[in-house]
Formats: sequence, C-alpha cells, structure tokens
Amino acid sequence: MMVRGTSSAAVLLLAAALLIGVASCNLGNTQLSISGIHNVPGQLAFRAVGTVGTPFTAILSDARSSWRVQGTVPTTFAIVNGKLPARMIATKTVSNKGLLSLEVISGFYAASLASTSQPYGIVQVQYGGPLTTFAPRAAPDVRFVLRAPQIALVTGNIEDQHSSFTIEQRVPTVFLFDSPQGRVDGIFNLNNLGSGTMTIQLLYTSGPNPTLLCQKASSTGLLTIRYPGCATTVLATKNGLTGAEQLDLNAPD
Amino acid sequence: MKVRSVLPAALALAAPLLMIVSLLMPLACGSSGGTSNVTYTAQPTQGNIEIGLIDAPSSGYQNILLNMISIRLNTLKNATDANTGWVSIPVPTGVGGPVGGAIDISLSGGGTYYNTSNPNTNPGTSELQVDLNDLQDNVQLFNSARVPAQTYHTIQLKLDPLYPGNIVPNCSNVFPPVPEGCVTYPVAIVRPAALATSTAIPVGKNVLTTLVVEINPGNPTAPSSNGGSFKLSPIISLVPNSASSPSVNSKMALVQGTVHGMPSNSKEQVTAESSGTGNVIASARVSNSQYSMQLPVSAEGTSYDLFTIGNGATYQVMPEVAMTRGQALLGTDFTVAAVKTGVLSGSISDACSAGTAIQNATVELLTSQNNSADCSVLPTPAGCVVVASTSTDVRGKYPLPGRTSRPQPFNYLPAAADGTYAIKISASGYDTTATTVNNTNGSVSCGSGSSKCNFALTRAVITGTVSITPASGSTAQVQVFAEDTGTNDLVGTLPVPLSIPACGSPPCSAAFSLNVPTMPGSYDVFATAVDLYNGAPDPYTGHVFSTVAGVTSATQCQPTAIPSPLAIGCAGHGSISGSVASYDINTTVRLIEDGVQVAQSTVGPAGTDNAGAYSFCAPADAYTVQRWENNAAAGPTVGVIVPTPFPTAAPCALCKNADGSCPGNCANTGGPTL
Repeated sequence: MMVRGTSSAAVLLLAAALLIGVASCNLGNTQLSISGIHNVPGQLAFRAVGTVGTPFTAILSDARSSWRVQGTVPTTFAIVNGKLPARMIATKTVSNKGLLSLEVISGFYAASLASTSQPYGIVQVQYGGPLTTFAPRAAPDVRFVLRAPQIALVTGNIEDQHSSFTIEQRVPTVFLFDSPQGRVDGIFNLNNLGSGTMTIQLLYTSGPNPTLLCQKASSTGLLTIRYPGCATTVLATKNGLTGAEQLDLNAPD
Repeated sequence: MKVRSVLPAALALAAPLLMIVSLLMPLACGSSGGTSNVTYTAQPTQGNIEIGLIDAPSSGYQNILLNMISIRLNTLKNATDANTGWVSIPVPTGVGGPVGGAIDISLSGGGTYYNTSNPNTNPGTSELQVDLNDLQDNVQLFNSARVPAQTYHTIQLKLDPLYPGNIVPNCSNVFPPVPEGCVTYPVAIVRPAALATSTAIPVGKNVLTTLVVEINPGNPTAPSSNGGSFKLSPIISLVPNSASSPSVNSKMALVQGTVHGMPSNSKEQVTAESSGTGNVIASARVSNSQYSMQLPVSAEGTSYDLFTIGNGATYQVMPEVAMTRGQALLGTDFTVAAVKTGVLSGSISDACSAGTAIQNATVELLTSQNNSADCSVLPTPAGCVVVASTSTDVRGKYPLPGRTSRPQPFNYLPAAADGTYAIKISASGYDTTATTVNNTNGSVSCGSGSSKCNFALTRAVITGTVSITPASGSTAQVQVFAEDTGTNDLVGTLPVPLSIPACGSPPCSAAFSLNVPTMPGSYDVFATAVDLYNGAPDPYTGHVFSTVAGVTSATQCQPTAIPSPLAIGCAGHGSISGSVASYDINTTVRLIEDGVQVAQSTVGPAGTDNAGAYSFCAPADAYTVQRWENNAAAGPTVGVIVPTPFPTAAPCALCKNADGSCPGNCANTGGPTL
C-alpha cells in the first residue's frame, strides 16, 4: 500500500509536471509564461496602427452586431463573444499622408492587413469569410474602454451571467461585448502600468434607452467594474447617436 | 500515517522532477529558430542603431505592401534562420521605449509591448504594413534600438511568415486582360533567403549607427488567373554610409549637438518635424546633454522644424532648418532653463449641439522662435512650430495619456511670457480655431483668461441622398466626402459609411448629413462605394464617383440640401498610367470628374525606374487630369476616358451592369503626358 501510495503520488506529480511542461509549449495558444501571465487566445481584435495620433472613424461588424467607433492610432477594438465573419471599414478624418493600417488579430497573429496613407483614405479588412451585410447595431451595446499612459498588457475576464471570457490585450483597447446575457462585469489587471492611472469606462446602451456610463480609475492597475452594480451616469442620445457613440460633456466624470 | 509517509517522498521528488521537466520541455517543444531578442544584461557595451527603409520602386502597381515584423542582425557572415545570436529590432509600438532606442519613431506597429527583460510577456506579433510605393526614393524611419556594440555581418528583413504582404496591380496592359487590376492579391515570397544581406556593419559603443535598408521588390510575377498570388522576389541591400567621421548615410542628414541648461531628472528630447506640418519624423532622447539622430532627406533637400521639449524646462525651437543628403549638422545646440510648469487641459464640444463632445479633435500647441510670430492667428504663419499634439477622448477631453518615454507635454507646459504659446484645434467637419495660451507661473489659461481651455467648434451641414443598386441580399456601403471647391483639401466625411440594403425597386437610396466648416463655405462633394470583390475587401472602388461641385453651405449650424441624389452606378475597375515631363518632389497629378478632384497621384522621383510616372485606379468613366505644383494648378486639364471593361456573364465578382452583365477584367488606359 505504501509503495502503491508513493507510486500514485509520483504519478500525480509527474502528470502535474508534464502538464506544466506541456503548457509551456504554447500548444493551442495556451502558453504559461515565466511571469505567470497566461497567454490565452486573444479575442478577435481589430488593431488600428500606423502614424501615431492619426484620427479615424469606423464601423465594425460581426455576424450578429455592429458598432460605430472612433479613435486615434494606436487603438485596438476587441470583440468579446463575437461571431464570424467580421468586417471593419475605417476612414481617416485628417487630410494628410499619415499611415492608417488595420490589422485583424486572431489568436496571437495578424490574419489580415490593409492600409491607406491617402488623405481621408478608406481602408477595410474582413475575417472569417464575406460579410456582405453589416449587422444591426449591437443591442445591448456594451463597451469597456481602457486607457493608460502606455500600451501595457491587460489581462482579466469579461463576463455576463452565463459566460466568462478571458481577455488579453494592450491598452488603449475598446472591448465590444457582443450579445451579453444579463449582468456584465469586467476584471482587469494591467500588468505593467508603471506610473500613471488606468481608466476604465463601461458604457451600457440598451435598445432605445440612453447610454449608462460607469467609470473607474486605478493607480495600481487592478480594477473590477460591473453593471448593474456601479454608479452610473445617464448619457443622452443626440443627433441620432447614442451616448456610447457620442458622449455628453455635461455629464460629470 | 501512510499518507504522511508518502508526502515527504513525493515532495522530495517534486523539485527535481519539475526542474528536469522544465529543462527538457524546451527541447521537446522545439527551438524557436535561434532568435534571441535584444539581450542587454550580458553585454558589456552597447551602441545606438537607427534603421530606415527605402525602395527601388516598380511601375505598374498601386501598392506593394510588405508586412514587416523586424530587422535582425547577426555577427556571423551569411547567417540564416538556423543560426543563433540574432539581435532583433521589432517594429515600433509607438509608445514607451520598447527596445531602449535613442530615437522615437512616430509609428506604431501595434500593441505588443516589447519587454526585453521578459520576452515571454510579449504575446502576439507586432507588425507594420509598409507600402513600397510610398517609400520611393525617400527614407522612412523604421525603428531604433540599443544593441550590443560589435560588428555585425548579416542583416535580415523578417516578414510575416503567413501573410508576407499584398499587391495591388494596375489594370493589365495586354488583351485579354488577365488578371484583374486594382484589387488586392496576396504575395508569395519566392526566395526568403534574399531578404538578408551580408556586409560589415560596425556598431560603435555609445555612438549612433544608421542602417538604411533598400528593398527592391524586383518584377512581381502575376498569377495566371484572378485569385492567385503574386510571386515576389524582393532583394535587400544597404544604402552606404559615408566613410567620414561621423558617418552619415547618403540619403540622410545627421543632426547632433548639446542641450545646455537641462534640469536634473528632466526627460528632454529633440524633435524633428517636417517644416510647417507638425508631422513628427523622429525624436532623439537627450542623454548626458547630448543628442544625435539622422533624418531622411529628399534629393532636392528637406527642411525640418527642430525643437527641444521636456518635463520641466523651457522650449527652444529652430524652424525651417534646411538639410541636404549626406550633410552633418554638428553643433546644433539648444539652450533651455528649468522653469515651473502647468497643465494645459480642457474639452472640445460642438457649438451646434450644446454639450455634445467632439471625439478625435486634434489639439496642437504652437510656439515660435523668440516669439517672432503670432501663432494664434489663422492660417498659421510661417515660423510657428507645433511642439505638442494630442487628441480628444470619447468625452471630448484632452490631453490623452502620454507615452512612458515621453511625458505628455500638455501636462508640463513651461511658464512663459504671454504670447509665447497658441493652441489650435481642428476636427473633421468643423471650423479650425486658434487662440493664445498663457502660463503665468504654472497657472494656465486660454484666450481671454478662462481658467479652462474649453472650446466649442462651429460647423454647417450639407444634406443629400445617395442612390445605388446593391447586389441581391447584400448591403452597399457608401462614403461621402466634402472638400474645398477646386482643391483636394478634404474637410469632412460621414462618421460611418451609409449602409444601403437591397430594395424592391432599385436603385436604393439613403439620406446623409455631412458636417462641413462654415468657412470658406463652398465645397465639392463626392460619394464613393466601398466595395467587395469576390467577397473580399476591394481597395479601389468599381462604382463611379458621384460628384457635385460648388455646394455653398448655409450659415452656422444650418443645413444646405443637394437637390438631386448622388447616383452611384456599377462601372468596373480601371486604371490610368501616364507621365509628367517636368516635375519635382512637389508635383502631383489630380484626377478630376465633372470639376471635382476625386484622387491624387504622386509622381515617381527622378533617377528611378518610376521617374515622372503617375497612375490612378479609377472606375470606368470620363475624367480630366491636371498637373499641380504644391497646392496650385500648373497646367491645363486634359481629358482621359477609362473604358468600360468587356462584360462577362454572371455571377458578378464586383457589381452588376445595368444590362445584367458583369464588368470583366479591366484594361489599363494610357494617360496623357502632362
């Protein structure tokens, strides 16, 4: 028995060791890094890169939902719980030769790239097959907007009542939660914030209702935010745009 | 008892077992090819390296796009992927100091934070798509890094192994035209080994070494049918540096000097912008009061605005510093002084919709040399230099967070005499505004003395409708633009393209509302479809441009309607290729439809295979083309007709002609010599 017990324990240890070893092989995008950060399969993400500061406006859509977004280079838009195919059309909103590149990131790698350096140039990318019709606007439209002084690595989870999605991206990132069920929350850990403040805005727009804004900031790089369950600010719809698409300055932080 | 007796043994086994597994697993997992990202700790000395790219351009292509991951160096001659010891300089993240380089490049290749102390925290690959046709004969800076100071013998260009690039060819010059032109093709690299070259590259200790990598794409081989890959055999070589000391690249100019009076702990930088544009080309970090960088220079010479900026010292600007290729501007010194700083922040809103934020507005801080110009007037006078730029966030607030290696300048505005600074705010579809910024002993105010620098931008509105026939069961995407009449100075576009679903009685239409500035008040408006070709994104439209010239906007906040719909019909792709007899770096060719400029082409630089050439991808239609110098017409308009592609039967790859046929492959149209 004693021998058997030792053998069982050794087998368990060997199995555990092999499991750790295999995990370090980056098989199936599940690498366990030295620092303990799990390299999980990334969300389907659209990176806008190129000349830093180049402003653009865009629409992106998967098979279920679409979102109107704006940003400056570099910004990542990651779809949580997305359904392929997906497509993004971006238009530079500046009349210069600055580069605007769109990269579709699936897992850890770029799966499609397109660029323009034309004044007010248009660029589009697509992934997972043709998307000939953009989906209706997301309903509810749930966005987590992360900002920090550098492109730091953020890991964590975004959840609804049924599912939890492990996330890993670089800030600034906008997470677009496709078709969440019930309550939503996000747990974010900014691994290399350094100095400065990490800010998260949770924007929740349900159908025709105005956008509700939750905002939190952290100097440690660890934040949890949820809706319902946070102090919200109501952002009115104006000019046909929801608060999430065009926010109201009069609302307090 | 038995359990207690088992556990110690098991635990005793655990540590060695885990060690053995951890040692063996990398072998079991396979090697990563011997690439060692820059490892600094083991190196006794380091040097600075600055890398630029240049192209030997090919004619006949709208775009030759390479998806770059890194430049690698190896001390071995003719090193290959099988060798170890590679020093990798990745594409810039655009933030932070990813590889410790002395020069920041104003490009971002994505979100990968390049953590040199722990490369395992670098998930994913950061890459940058570079259009060789944009490079032409002008160097584009790629990145800089601190690397071990030693002599390297091999330099290698690493492309995305799965998606190395794309090509967009002009339409075919043969009949029948194959393959289709003005659409995107994937690239297959024929000889990856040719992306390396061997030569001695000495990197000296604590000095700046510049590498300019010339990428010659060769003659791409077209696929025999639509949908294939272009075979590309690019070859790289190095543009020589001078043998003199300090060494200067023959396509660049060296600027170096001393920054006097730096406060202790100040993160000071010397920044170079293309003169009068605010476009940052490079920023050199000041270390031990010294800085050094090489800047791209055109064959005709290039002027830069230089300035120092930090987080606790005064600015000094040097506008319009002329440089020529190979020149060394040694002793380009600056003098700054410690001073109290203040924070310049505020918000930008829409004057026509109280409280509505304007996201993505560009906010620029300007100053001049010794206050020699009033930078608060519009248009911005010569001599004014943009010393800081930021954007507004989703709530219309500025500044955005800064970069770790470069503190947000808006948070460290040096105190100065009134009139030293001006702020300029611009946003697509709005009037640009500018006013003075005062910083009295750290207390910042704008214009008439408001404590907060908040601005409401004015605009007018142009409304209209667009009509198009989407394919059955699909939705057409149409974007609308406005530009100052008679120019291609674009001033506004829709926040998102119009989505026009197929309808029962085509053409189908949708209304638009386009913000435009109130000044100058007359605009050319055009609409263009954002197409798919064979279900894939189409970089150049196959529908005609629909244009309206000279729309006069009403007063502030009031709409002006375009009475007739902007009709966008299926046309098929087309291209125009011609040449310009007399040209320089300021020459462009404009493509004009019904008096509205819809596209612009650069002209290939002298001394290249592409010298004097211009080309457009433009849908089949009647146009005129015209040569421009700087921002003025410099020749007559000359008519050119892009013929309708020979039709083919359904199913259509692009769109359906009015008679139910499909546009076939396009043929290139010879353009006039201008």
